[in-house]
Amino acid sequence: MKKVDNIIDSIAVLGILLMFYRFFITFLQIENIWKLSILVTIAFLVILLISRFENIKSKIIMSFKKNRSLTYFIGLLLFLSLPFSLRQSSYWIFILTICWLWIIIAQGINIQFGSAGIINLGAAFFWGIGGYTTAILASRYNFNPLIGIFLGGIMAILAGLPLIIPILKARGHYLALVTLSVVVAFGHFANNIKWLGGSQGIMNIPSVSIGGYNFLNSIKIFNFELPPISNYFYFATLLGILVLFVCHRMSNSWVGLTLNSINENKGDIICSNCMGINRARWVVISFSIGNFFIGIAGAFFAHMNCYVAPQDMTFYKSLLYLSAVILGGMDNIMGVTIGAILIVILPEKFKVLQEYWIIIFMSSIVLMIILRPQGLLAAKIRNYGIKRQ
Amino acid sequence: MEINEEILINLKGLTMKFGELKAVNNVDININKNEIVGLIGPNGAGKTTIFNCITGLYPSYEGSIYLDGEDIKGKNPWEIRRKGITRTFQTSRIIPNLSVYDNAFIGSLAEKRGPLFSAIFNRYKFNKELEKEINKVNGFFEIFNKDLINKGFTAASEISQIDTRRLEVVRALMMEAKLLLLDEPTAGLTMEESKEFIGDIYKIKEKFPELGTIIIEHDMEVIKGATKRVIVLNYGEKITEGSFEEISKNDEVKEAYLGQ
Repeated sequence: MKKVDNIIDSIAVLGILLMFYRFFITFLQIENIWKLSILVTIAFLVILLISRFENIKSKIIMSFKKNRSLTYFIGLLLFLSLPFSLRQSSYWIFILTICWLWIIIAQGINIQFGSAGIINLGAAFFWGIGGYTTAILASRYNFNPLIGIFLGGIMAILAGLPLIIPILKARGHYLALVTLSVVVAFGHFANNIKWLGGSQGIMNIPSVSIGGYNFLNSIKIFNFELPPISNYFYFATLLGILVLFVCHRMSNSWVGLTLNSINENKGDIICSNCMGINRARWVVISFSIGNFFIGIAGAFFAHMNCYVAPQDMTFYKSLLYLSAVILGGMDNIMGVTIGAILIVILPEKFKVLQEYWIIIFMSSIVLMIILRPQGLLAAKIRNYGIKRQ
Repeated sequence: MEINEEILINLKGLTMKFGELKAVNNVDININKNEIVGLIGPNGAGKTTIFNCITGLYPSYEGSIYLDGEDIKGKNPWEIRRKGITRTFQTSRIIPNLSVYDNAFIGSLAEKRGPLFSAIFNRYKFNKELEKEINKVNGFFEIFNKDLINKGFTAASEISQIDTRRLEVVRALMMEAKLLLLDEPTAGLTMEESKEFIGDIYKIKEKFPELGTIIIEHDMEVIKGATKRVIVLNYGEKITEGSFEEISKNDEVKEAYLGQ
């Protein structure tokens, strides 16, 4: 009986993952707003229905829990085949790649704000630093784009140090003000400096090329031809998984606990101070790690689009990055990932609400902070990966 | 200054002013190693202020504080902790959203070597450290309250008041310490729980024979039961010190408490 049960569980997991995959592809590719709304409503109702029936819902959850490795394996396979299913609509492969970049940025901000309580309103600035660094190095000095991306992250760290070190003793509001002014100031600055390309930015940034294989080529595999953007999709997937892995390990370790303890709201500054923790050191460390991720994402974007421009370094952009964290779930890696995905895909899908998205996002943040300040997926009690009952 | 081997901490002429108000006025205190000393006085007498001066939270005091012969004036609280002075707080500073274990672990984060590197690249080392810390905490829980071992990964907001106080003491002692400062540890506890707590203090003394302790308390039963020497403060000044019997006969002390 047990063997049959296990097979049923595995089939259920497989089936649900395939259904979800099919739904996702269809969701992305439907153009007609009415068909889209119908699809979304159906999906909503199905989920609502299932959560009503407790025993079905818990059976489903159990099947997934029992088949962790299968879930990850099939999930990964399906995910890697997205460019295949979307090869006719390369725009969506582009958007999914953007999703990964936002996930990376959101993880960076999550480390700064969600874990350590450091408010960074200038994320777009660090993103821009990453982009401009690699743009200059790769297009003017012939640096290898991969090295440029890495150095973009390093420059973001260096750019952050003069901002944070002078105000180490001050409370959160000061850093918020400093980062806010920096992103606005740099946007204007870059607009007017010839060396940075002025308002045009820097163009003709070379594409990434690994060992002779240039990312501008389409991928010809299994008799399929995937559009060139797929190269960036896979590369972003690799980077994204790496970042998620690193963040997961950091969070479930002494680092995550230290950051929580120096957090103004989640922790206790006086207490952690009296217990021997050097807050200044960890503020700088977490700020830098976060900026590194943001910088790398910005540099990646520069190579993918082959240009950087000051228009992308706005305060509004910074706020959006922050909202992914606030809406998705503070200090929750999965929550922040989901927040990032929603913020990228929803406005793209529902383009008809173009101007209203600002209002929707900003009011969602206000509502979320009032009604459910922990975000969609609340931070979980740290258990360091120990499986306990 | 001559170094007396027995003296753990020496406060000389300690004066703490807030504007014109002298919260602590020219106080001299010596605590020996392995002593448990009570620090009492009416509210506002300056007891917690003295703790805050010792632990570096109020760095701008006049006078001097020497720990084991070393001047600790001007040091950051985190440096002072690493020199061996640890404390609990008047209002339990336990972080409710973190687990019981996490709250305790905070006490020894400062001694971790290369936590960032091992978190990402050397999970084996981290897991060994984690196991060691869990065993350390469980060792404390064995002494205080075995039930807490099962509650290790539950939110700290869910444990009782006396367990919260105990958790604070555990956190304070997770890393090597020479001097333990307890600030009104039985505030909010019932009479029964306070009696239990006296027992807890003796268990701590057994586990750490070299540890010096200063206890700020309003509950005289605890002072009588746990301390050998009592220092009495009033309006920021030390009015007397001695055994509990001696100071309870002192007129000034009686007036300070009854003449309120």
